[in-house]
Amino acid sequence: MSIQIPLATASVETAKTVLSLRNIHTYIAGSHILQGISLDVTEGQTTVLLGRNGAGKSTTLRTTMGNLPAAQGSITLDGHELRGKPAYFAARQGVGFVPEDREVFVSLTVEENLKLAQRGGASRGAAGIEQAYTLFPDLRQARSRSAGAMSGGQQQMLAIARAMMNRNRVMLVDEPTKGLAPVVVKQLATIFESLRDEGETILLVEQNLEFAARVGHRFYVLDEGRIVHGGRMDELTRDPELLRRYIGV
Amino acid sequence: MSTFLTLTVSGISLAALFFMVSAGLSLIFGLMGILNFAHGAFFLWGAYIWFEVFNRTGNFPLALLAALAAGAVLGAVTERVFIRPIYRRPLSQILVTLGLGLVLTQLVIAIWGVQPQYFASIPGLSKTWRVGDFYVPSYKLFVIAIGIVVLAAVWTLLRYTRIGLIVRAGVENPAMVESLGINVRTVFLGVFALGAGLAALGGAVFAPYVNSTTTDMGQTVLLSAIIVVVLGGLGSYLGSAVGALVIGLAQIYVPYYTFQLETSSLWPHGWPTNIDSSAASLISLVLLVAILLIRPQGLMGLKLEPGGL
Ligand SMILES: Nc1ncnc2c1ncn2[C@@H]1O[C@H](COP(=O)(O)OP(=O)(O)OP(=O)(O)O)[C@@H](O)[C@H]1O
Ligand SMILES: [Mg+2]
Repeated sequence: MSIQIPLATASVETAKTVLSLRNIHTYIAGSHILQGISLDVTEGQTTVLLGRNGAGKSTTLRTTMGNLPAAQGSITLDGHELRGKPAYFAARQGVGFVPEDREVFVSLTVEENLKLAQRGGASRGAAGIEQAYTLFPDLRQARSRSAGAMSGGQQQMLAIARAMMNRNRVMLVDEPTKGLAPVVVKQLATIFESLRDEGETILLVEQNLEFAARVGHRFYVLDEGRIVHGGRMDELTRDPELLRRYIGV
Repeated sequence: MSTFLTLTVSGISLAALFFMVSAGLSLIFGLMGILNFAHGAFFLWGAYIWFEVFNRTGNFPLALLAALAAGAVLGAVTERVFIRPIYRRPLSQILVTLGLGLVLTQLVIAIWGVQPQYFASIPGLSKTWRVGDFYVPSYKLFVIAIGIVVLAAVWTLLRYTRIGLIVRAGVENPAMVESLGINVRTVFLGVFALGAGLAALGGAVFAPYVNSTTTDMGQTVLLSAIIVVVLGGLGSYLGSAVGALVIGLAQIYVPYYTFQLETSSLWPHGWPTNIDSSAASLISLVLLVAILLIRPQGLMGLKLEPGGL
């Protein structure tokens, strides 16, 4: 079965593709997890990657980052190949990463987590940290406390702030709402709305459809390691049949 | 009482030596997940490089620095050539580091021979002070001082520098550190070189402690250092300091109080004789088993506090 998915449409404005995956195959412990993923992330937009548990969403992000090797295909950032390069290379090229389960450094303080992420020339420096504290006042309060002592929601905010410490071309964000209370999810939705309005380029993995619909411009649906659908966000929310088939709502 | 004090000074100086070896062992394990069985050979090389330089120049500080530098270079080359290709392959790591340790030991034997090497006394450090029955060899105080300097220097590095921040984060989650744009492999190389350098410095400091160099000293110290690291909590830097203190003191107190050996058998060298050292190894193992039963994470393992080292 081979479905042709329309990739980022050359729409009215001359939208630029920042990140592009073509025919990506990834194996984990011998299993063929990603079976030819192609997708485009457009500059200044939030692109949402949807799909059931185990569909391969996190694997797609980790492969893009370089944490998992792609056996085949191509991953380009502003036209430069990332495939076969280590994760630090992708990060230095401007890929920010907020992993599933946050992965903040629990043995470091909140501020140390932020400082660690700041790298030389690309770094936003003290102003970047100040900006993060303005965006997430909880972090300012807890700046010299252990990141491990913070709530799940605060850790998520730290993980997002950490990814924003350098000037990114694109941010990969994996299920930021996972396991969080509705009130925190609302807070995060506001944050992602403002990031979108500021023109950040984001590839967002999300299972919370309401959240996705609120912040996303475009979407892709991933199923069993393949992209099975893609389009504008409002097309998805108006198609109950599509939702039922691939996402189970 | 004065006997107890004499023993205590011996125990602490032995702890300082163990710490120099186990600090690197522990950092390397914490960051890279590698139990480096070649670490004893770095110690051994440190002793022999020290001997060679000291014997030729008579310059004690220069000989110590030479050992430290040689150990760091040996460690860097080892990481780059032998360890890097086998990250995340624990079985290969055990075989490769064990094999490398044997080869490096054989090299020492090929160059310097199996017989012990003796050398002139250390200028300015050969005096022993005596108050009643309380003996304090100045060399032991020197060893303790070196141990404290190393402890403080590495702690400052870990706690207050960017490299230290990266190492602490890397101990927790190297893949995430890499995703932040940091080349973790470079940090691995640096930590391996530092650890090997400290082990070599330990060997250099140890040789005058026992008044000779012997080709089996690396193996003996490696066993104690591994116990120290497990006892202190794998990967915990301050834990290895505490572990070293426990093992150092135990290896001096226990043989004395168990077998009622003369203090003179521990003095001036303070290194247990054969009977003592098997007793010392035994007590280390007993302590290790006891701690592992009560606190499997070690004395200070898995601390999740800010600045947890
Ligand atoms: N370390 C691993 N070893 C073996 N299989 C793995 C591993 N990691 C992921 N997989 C498998 O790869 C497939 C895709 O996993 P992935 O984490 O990418 O899914 P996901 O879409 O992010 O799911 P979720 O919504 O649960 O986060 C799953 O079938 C999973 O079982
Ligand atoms: Mg996932």
